[in-house]
Amino acid sequence: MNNKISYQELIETISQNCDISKKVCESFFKDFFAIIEENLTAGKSVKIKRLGTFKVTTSEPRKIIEVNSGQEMEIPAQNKVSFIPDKEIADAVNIAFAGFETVTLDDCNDDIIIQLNNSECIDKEDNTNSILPPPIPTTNNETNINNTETAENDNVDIAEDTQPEILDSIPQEEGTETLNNQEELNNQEADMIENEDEQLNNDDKKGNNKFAKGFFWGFISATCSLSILLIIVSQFIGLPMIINNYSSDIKTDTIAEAKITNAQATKIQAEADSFAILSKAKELKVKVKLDTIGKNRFLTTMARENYGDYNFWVYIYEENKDILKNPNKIKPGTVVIIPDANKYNIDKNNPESLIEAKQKAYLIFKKFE
Amino acid sequence: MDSKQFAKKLSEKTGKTNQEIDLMIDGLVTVIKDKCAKMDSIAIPSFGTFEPKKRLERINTHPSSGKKILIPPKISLSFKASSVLKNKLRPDK
Repeated sequence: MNNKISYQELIETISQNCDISKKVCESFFKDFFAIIEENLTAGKSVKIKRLGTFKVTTSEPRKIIEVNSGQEMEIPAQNKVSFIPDKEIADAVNIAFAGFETVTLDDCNDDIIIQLNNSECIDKEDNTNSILPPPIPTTNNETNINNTETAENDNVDIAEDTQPEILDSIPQEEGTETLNNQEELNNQEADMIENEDEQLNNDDKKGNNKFAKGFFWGFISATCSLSILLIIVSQFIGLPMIINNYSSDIKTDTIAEAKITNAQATKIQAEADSFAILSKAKELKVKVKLDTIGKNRFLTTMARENYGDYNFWVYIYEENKDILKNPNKIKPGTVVIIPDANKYNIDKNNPESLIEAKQKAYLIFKKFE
Repeated sequence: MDSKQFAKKLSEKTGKTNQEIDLMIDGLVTVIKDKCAKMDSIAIPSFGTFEPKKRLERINTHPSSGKKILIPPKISLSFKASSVLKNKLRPDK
């Protein structure tokens, strides 16, 4: 990008490509450009096949008024060299925008036209945003219930983050997760009400049977929901030990309710098993490839490894649109999903798909200009 | 001066066959294609620079129909003559 290639480099690459010694090449191109120069100074135009046409154009002398001093000056007649590239070479240079065509617009204001230009990218963004559910709200609510529990939950959450299979950006899994989360939220709301009841009980010290029963069932439902959550999470991580310890803790805490909780626990475990099977089936269905961006590992390197051409980085970007913002300013350590090549019709041997990728890259960069 | 005349003159000066000249020009053209598509410019001393220029998309009126048209962005190859060549071309010289 924006490098200046010196004459030496040019000669080197040509001699390598054509299998001709550097010396011969250098003297040849010296003569080559000398002849063009000769003809141009003689006022002739030079047409070279596959390269283009060099022409000399004369500009008339003109008068200008200098802005600073206000004096009139005359710019003398000048000869200028104009170069018209051959169609083949012009098309090759313009390959990045080769797919664009001139569009005729009817009865449109300029503002609307400009909006139309940008609308394509904005629409896509909106769609993706609406599809994805909002980020997990549960962790904050859970903190309200119990401090000891949150400590464990936090640990689990962190482990979840590090586990790449349970990335939140996987849409299908996220759907089920949010459903679970919603269920838990409902349970927790009920718990809160029950807890209030408990406080009322303590304050009044009436010991009504109804209140006691309410508290009893509330506590059971709370333990059930929490153990479901923990079992699900632990199934993902593969650490069932934590729950066993945790459930035994609960048992010791509530000796009176031990029998009932045992009965419930078997039910819950059966449920949790079915959940785990479901989630495993989903994992098998959605085989997601992940990669981490490093200091020397960019989207382009990943694209070259996975699809064979660096230009296809745009599709990795598209897949991770909600995480990534400016493609030139991605923090090292960001984990990205690498989509399947068939999802975006990526084919390195197809020039059309290459052109499409380049156009997408242009649109993406334009957003961050 | 067209391409044939140019090739003839070049072969006289360098003593190369037309095929060799074709091969060399092909080499130059492929290098310009490759490098300029990547927005690199190629400088040739005492002659000039081949550089790609990016032109943004713009809205224009069609000269014959008078309708508004959207012209897409484009990278065009341009040539900038060096000051040495410019001096040689000065009419008063």
